Amino acid sequence: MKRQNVETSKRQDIETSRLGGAGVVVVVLLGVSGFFVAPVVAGDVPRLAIKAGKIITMDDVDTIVNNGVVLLADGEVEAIGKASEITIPDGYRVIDAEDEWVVPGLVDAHDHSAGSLYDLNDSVYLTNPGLRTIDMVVPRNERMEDALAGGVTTVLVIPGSGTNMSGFGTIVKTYGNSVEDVVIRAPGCLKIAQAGNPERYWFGVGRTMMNWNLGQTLEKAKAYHESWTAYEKGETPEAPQYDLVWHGFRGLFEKKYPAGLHTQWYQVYMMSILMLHDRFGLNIVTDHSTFDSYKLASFVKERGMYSVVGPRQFYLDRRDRTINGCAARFAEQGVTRLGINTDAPVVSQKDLSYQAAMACWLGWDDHYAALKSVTRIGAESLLIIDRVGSLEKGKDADVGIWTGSPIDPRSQCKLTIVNGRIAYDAKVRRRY
Amino acid sequence: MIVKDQPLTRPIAERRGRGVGRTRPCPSAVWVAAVAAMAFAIGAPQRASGGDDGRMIVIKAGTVITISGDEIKDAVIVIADGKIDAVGKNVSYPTESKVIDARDLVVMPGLVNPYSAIGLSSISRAGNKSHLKLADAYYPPEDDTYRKLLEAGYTTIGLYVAGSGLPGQGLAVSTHDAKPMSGLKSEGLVRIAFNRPSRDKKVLAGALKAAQEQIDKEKEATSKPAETKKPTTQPKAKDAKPTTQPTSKPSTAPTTKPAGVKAKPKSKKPTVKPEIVPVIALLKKQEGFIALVEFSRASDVVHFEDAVGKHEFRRAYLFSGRRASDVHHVTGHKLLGEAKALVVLPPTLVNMPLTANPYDRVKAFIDAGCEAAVVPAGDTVAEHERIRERLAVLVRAGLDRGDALKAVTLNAAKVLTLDDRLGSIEKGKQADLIFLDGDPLDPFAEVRRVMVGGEMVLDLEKSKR
Amino acid sequence: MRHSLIAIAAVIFASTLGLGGAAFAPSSSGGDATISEPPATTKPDGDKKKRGRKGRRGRKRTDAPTSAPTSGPTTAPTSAPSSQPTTTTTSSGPATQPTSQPDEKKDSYFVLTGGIIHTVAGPDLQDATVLCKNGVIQAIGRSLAVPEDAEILDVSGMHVYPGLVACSSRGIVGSEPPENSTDVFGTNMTLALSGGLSTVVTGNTAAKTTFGTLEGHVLRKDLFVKLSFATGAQKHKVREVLGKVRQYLRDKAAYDKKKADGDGEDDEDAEAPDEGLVKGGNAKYLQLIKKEKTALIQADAQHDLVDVCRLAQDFGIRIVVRGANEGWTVPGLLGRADVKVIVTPRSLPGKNEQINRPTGGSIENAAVMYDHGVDIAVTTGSANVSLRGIAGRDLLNLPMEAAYAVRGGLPEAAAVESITLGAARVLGIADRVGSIEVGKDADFTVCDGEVLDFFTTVQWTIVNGRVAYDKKAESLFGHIRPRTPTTQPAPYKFWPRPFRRPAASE
Repeated sequence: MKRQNVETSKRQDIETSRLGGAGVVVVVLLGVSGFFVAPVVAGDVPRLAIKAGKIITMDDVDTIVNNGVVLLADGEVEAIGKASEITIPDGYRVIDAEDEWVVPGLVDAHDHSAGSLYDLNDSVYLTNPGLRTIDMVVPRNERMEDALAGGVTTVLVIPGSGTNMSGFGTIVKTYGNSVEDVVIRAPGCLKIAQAGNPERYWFGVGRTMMNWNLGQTLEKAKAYHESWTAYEKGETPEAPQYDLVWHGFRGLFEKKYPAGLHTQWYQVYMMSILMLHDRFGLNIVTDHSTFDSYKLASFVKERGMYSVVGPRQFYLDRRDRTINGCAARFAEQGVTRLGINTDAPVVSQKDLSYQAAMACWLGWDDHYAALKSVTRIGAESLLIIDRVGSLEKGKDADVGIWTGSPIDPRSQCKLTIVNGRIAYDAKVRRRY
Repeated sequence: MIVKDQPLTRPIAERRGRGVGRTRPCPSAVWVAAVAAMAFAIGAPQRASGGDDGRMIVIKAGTVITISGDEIKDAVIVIADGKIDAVGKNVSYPTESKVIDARDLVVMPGLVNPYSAIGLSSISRAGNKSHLKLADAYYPPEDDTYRKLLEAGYTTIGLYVAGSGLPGQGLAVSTHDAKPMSGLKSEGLVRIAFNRPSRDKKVLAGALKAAQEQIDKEKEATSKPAETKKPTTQPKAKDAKPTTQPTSKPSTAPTTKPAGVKAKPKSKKPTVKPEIVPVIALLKKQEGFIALVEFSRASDVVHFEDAVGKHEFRRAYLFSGRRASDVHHVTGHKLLGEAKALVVLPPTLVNMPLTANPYDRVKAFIDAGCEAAVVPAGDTVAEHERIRERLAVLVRAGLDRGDALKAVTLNAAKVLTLDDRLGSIEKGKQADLIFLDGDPLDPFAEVRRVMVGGEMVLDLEKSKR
Repeated sequence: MRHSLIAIAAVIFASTLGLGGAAFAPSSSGGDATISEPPATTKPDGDKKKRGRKGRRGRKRTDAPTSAPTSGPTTAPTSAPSSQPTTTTTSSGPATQPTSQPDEKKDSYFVLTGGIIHTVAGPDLQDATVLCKNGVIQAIGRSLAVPEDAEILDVSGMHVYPGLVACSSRGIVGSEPPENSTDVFGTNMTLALSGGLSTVVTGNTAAKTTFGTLEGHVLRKDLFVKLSFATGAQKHKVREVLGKVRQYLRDKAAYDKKKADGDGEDDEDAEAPDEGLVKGGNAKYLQLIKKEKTALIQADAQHDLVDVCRLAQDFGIRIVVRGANEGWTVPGLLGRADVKVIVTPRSLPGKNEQINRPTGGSIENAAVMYDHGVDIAVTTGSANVSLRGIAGRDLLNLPMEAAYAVRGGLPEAAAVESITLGAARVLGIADRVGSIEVGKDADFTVCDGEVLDFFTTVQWTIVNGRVAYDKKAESLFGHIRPRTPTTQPAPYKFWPRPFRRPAASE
């Protein structure tokens, strides 16, 4: 009796997932056909000149320009410099932000809200390496408008953690009409969920099963990748059979994109690092790193990994009855590649900067690093630093104009620019 | 040992006839020696009463843990008439005494559990029912529960009715010879459940208030003759008060009388509600009356202080349950550490809130100045059997060995106000003894024999044979 | 702005205190500074009755005069029992020898020195000293003479705020009545104190976070008359009963007048109004009409708020609205109806696209209503303290919620007020807590920075003149930016805020 029920629900799951996929395809097609084109996005990208009180460029030498000018053209940053050095050419629309801070658009390395929210967890198998979140991206949804109001311009949409390996994530901009518009890179990462949530999978799997299963899946993927590599090098004459399920892993093993790891708690965190980083040599980004994961800071530091902390920000250590800020503890032990995330919609996407503020409150005594964690670090960890995460010449024109430091909850995001277009203007309709 | 010049011809039987004989100035050992000498001289054995066959009982013990004093190696305990007559290294005794050879055993007082409901049917009462005595409704369990307790070394248990508020008066019984209508103590053990102040505070405060009013009334009645006429105006009454105030009364009496009492119509014999009577006895500090106040967490102490106010009565405090893990806040509290109170605790290490660090509550209270009694960690036979093991854990964690043993014997007896009869091996106390084949805190040591009132009620050696 | 306030503090200060009924004499004039205690004869009796709960738990609150809040956006009708300002400056003796009556508890003194005192009711004071006696603020000023046995807490460089007030709480103190149920050693109380809270509301009772004691625990009971005013039927019922009660009062007045005026002949046909109308369940409505009590109504949507305002105006009753998410759409109405609100700035429900008018939440909600003269209190979305790990959304971070009101445009001073004096005013307890003034409860939140700053942690929380929380002594947050004897908090000012640059090697 029970077994029948299980089977029925499984069948239903498959059906719903198919339907969901179809729905998204329809949305994507409509988007491409221009059905959703909004007037703001249409037309040429305007040329913008921002007169800024303070520019936090977040470049690799941490340049901060006071009383500067940022020129944006063709969706890219054209120039940044002191107001005295740059003359604003004709034909630029001037944005007066002389009392404000200009910062790069914020980057969230862990988001679900750019998707449909309904097919986050296609829990068909324990590992679902073929799934891709690009199939469920909904550009310009309500939650993305919230993200823009919080100055967030780039997010990594990843599948949920309902299964051990729930598919490939997608890096998208928070503003744009079609999937083509918004996608920066697909696949953005491989989502792997360790322990915790996948244990709720309806077979009731445990950590031993998951680690074996994950290892097994990756071994297969590696074999597939190696067979193709051999063929491409001319070592084997015949092309291996193309398999959509495994093909996404090629970029992973070539380190073109990272594996995003849902992992937390000391033991799980350690197992994840040992297996994925050490055994398979993947480029991994740990997505939660909460609870007592910070006790493995030396692991992270040695391997030069990126740790992204959130949405939980503190952990009560019962051994000495202390409240420990996770980010603060990582930083204290010398981890500099430290990001902050929201796991939206667990924490609203607009609160990305507030997450960083809370990390500061909990002992991360570094205002600049906190701001860096939600801009440059996020982009670095996802290997998209060549496009977003800082304000440098030639990079995407993703800019937030704030009344003060974005980390301070009292500061307001007045204007958000994505790809050179004004995506959010608090004067028109303020959301946050 | 000091030997005083006493008439040697006085027969023991005559002395026994006088009763306990605690008030006699000479140590009884002298008597024993004297009688022995006399008997030797006459050459005709004289039967003294005591033990089952009327003889005195002499225990030659490997070690005697007296609790009240030091541990004595190779000591002798002399028991006459069910009571301990002498204990020491070089104690003489009549030759015809019945000698129990326990030279390979350790002898200590029987254990006392001051708070239990074991074997009781599940009665639970709410509100102030302090006049209801468990002794009136008690019937010992028909199974071998008490036998098992006895085997575990428990010779005395205090039984209380469950419930909230003041659910009634408890009963202390011997596990060997529990009888329905009598016990070691059937009155005066008032239980105050205070583990949920939101429920119990009102009940207690109400009971105390009613009792105090009654006491004031009585006082007024006794002082009335001195008062010629009721004062008519308030200021006069105030002036009159100091003169009418009885000075010999205990200090618990309030300095001022509530105005409302005065105004009430005179009634020669006011009816006293029965449930108030035990509370009045408590407040008057009547002999044998003690309250056992049960708390479940540190905060309850503060609420209790609030509810009790300035009322004083004899009481012991019991911390039960897992929530009492935050008692470190109150070990030095005005009612506890400062007052050198008697505290009853389970022998378990608990984690302070939000921590994983176990700590020893018994030691914490003793360090703060309290006297500690220990109850089994649960009200089950198994926990009674494990009590020595649990204590050993506490001792390993830093509790003083003497304190640990005292907590299950003498201090536990104090909770039942039976510390003048039980709980230690000293002259005049009831001969409730247990014989162990090793140190009591050695988990491998077993209770080999148990003696209650001078009678060997359990003898594993014998039963094995 | 704050600079100037502090600079002129000393000047305004004397006048502030003068208004409050206490005087202080700077010790420069001979070093014989005294703390004024108004003579007992000038004490109004009503004052005593209202302010001091007598009884076992009641503290002696008879020695401090009351002082009405001297500033604020609106005058508080609920606060300030009308004590006549005692202008007498007679001192009852040197402060070092407090007069204590026999049989009573010894007076306890508590002194805060060296901090930046944000009085909320008045200007900020630099390096001032606050002297508290028996849990009540007795004097504020520089160079005060301090009794020898006083407990002195040196808070040099720290920011001292009135104890924060949470308009609703769950699990911090016990459920009603809290004096019988609060776990005074509870973990949640410690956590609330670590968030700087000194007053919380449970059910309909305001209680203090008096850690370890029940003394002065309950601040006030029966704060509100809670009305259900959401459905049409409920609204109808409330209006109907209020109408009846009002009519009863009018009839009663007319009847009494008639009886008083009449010569006895007409009295026979005059019928006394039915007292049953104002008995039982209707008694609370009578209290509302008589303005003895304030109504508490949960309302968020615009139309509900409009109905609430009409109710307030039609019957002249005092109303506090909890929620008021769409208050920004009808701020003028709320202001005119003198409705007070308890808001959560970050409660931002989505816009209803079906309705052709502004709907949904707005981050500017608090600011807009404040601009229209509405008394606001800010509270967090979840009324508990949580150790789940998602930081910044519960009462551990009440000031952060107020910081979001600042983000919405509320002036910083008003934001601080909304979690202290403003909240107290909304709850009707502003005569006891909410500001640092002579005569008010000695509740302080001592921070190492401005309370709205996200780097700020609470260092001490003082409740009823007693240190209830010391960050250093409590392990929870003690290790975060540990306090050393020489710790001086960063001189946080407004923009540009200090901005730490990392080492170049990073």
